[in-house]
Amino acid sequence: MNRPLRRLASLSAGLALAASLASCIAGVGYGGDYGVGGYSPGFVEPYGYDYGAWGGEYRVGPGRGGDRRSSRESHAFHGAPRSRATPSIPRGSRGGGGNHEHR
Amino acid sequence: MNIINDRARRLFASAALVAAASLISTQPARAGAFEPPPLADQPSTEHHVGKMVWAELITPDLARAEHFYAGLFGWTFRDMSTGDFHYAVAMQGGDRVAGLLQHPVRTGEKRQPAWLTFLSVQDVDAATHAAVGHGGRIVREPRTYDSRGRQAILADPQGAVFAVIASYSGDPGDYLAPPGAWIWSSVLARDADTDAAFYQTVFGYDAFDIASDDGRDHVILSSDDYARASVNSLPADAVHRRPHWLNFVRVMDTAETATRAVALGGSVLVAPRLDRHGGRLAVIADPTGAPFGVMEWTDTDSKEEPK
Repeated sequence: MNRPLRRLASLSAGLALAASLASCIAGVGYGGDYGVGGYSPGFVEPYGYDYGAWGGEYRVGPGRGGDRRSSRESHAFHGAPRSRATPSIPRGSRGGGGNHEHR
Repeated sequence: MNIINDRARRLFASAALVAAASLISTQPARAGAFEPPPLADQPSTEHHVGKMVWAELITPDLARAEHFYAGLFGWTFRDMSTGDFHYAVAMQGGDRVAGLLQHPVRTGEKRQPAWLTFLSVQDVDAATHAAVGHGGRIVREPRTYDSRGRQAILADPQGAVFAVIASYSGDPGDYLAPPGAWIWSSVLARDADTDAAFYQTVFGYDAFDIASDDGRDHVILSSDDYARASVNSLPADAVHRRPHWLNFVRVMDTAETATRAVALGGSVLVAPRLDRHGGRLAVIADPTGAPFGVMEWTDTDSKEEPK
């Protein structure tokens, strides 16, 4: 095989490889999840978690501000100073500020 | 010599063919590329780190989900589908409140439809780094989308999945959520204390441990002096209850909403009950099983702690 032809063949093979890789990348969606449009978080929650049969202990909502703090002394997190009132959710009207009513 | 040249020509021809085919095959993906939409029509200059600013439902049946949430909350939908990719933005009172994304359930896939919680950060990569450095893991790597901003999907050390986002359109302001909008988020964890420490590290929250007589930890996480979320212990017998985030939509009547959810094909996972703010909340699953909460909040609710 003469040298120009060999070069041409190598170039073509390289081009084919690059194009194949490009097509793979374009086809891969969000974080390696294959998606049609390039955005596909996919299902992120494992199947089969049971939600029912809670007792009276299902209490996860916010307080109204100033909620009583636990008497527990040590935590893995840094607890806010006890002098600070426990905050509530924003309760003001739109455009009127958040209205920290617990203050 | 002629044989060698023939072989070279054949090699060249087949390589060129593969190259052409490969290039052509990339075109449909590019042409149909879906870009997730911005979180708001009206950009805001506000940023509230640690605030829940968006939720995205991954569902196998978008039409069914739209019917359910329209009937339950009065949401309307903007179709943003591109080609075979089906996505809709849920609107409530002129505001974007959520994204709904259709994703087929693959055979044998041990995953379930769910709402994904998006928390605001200034720097997605820094938040991702902090999360991984403190026992979290990356579910989807940080990625920038032209009109939305940069986001990543993470899991906390106990497995609860959430997303972080630095939105190009800013964050919604701090005001009382209207009925039909997200009002609250909570994390259910095996160890609320250490999980709260994780979120405090990643988002810089202030943390308030709340007194309770149920023997479980309840921690309120706040930023800008507003409660943003709670971290709560799962019951001790929670073998099949895995750590997770759950978002609550504000409703005027939890019991009536739960009844309507069932009529629309959903189910009630946690029956309406009085919570610490004096209003009722419930946990509902939509027709494909994605759980979410509903919660009353009125200024006339009792401040009395539930018994």
